[in-house]
Amino acid sequence: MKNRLRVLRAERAWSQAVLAERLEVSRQTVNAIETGRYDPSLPLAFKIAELFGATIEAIFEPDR
Amino acid sequence: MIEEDRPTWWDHVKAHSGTEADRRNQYRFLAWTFLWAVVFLAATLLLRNGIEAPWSWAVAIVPIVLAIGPLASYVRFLRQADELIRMIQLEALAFGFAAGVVFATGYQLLERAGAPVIATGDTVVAMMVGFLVGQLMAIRRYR
Repeated sequence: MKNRLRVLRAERAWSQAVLAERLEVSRQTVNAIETGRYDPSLPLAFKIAELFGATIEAIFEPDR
Repeated sequence: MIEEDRPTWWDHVKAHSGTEADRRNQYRFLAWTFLWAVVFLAATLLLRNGIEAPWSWAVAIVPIVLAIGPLASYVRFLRQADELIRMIQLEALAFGFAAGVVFATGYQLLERAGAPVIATGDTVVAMMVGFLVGQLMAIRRYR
């Protein structure tokens, strides 16, 4: 699954560590999501969407 | 400007530990495991030195009961773990379990074919090795 997490994080000048802390996950989780190696759970996807004030669809896009 | 903070290999090794809560839970699990191992070793030595019933039964049962500690602390760690850490652990557990089953069933055939007879407890070693290999593979996959 593709996502805009890295771009959204960069717009706010947050490091992966800062984003991880805000999402209450490990930095490795943030890195794995950003690189597309790991798809977050639905609760975490909602948390990410809420944090960035966007919908899940605006952040995540399924592979076609 | 996107901050470049791609983790190093050492960060990946540390990825086992996850969040601060994960680290606390892992230390708790390791402490329980260490305690269990010491008691298991002591019980083995006592039983080898010919301790007699009924004490031999008591000595044998203590490490079995104490094994609840590592088990419960690992389940707690898994339930509370960061979701990527949990995924890595689950994949490693699946790999370890499969390694144990394959070793236990496969070696039976090898023994019949002429391989040296080994203790059934050696399956545990295969499971542990499988678990460690599974962890390394999962960490590599999600890095």
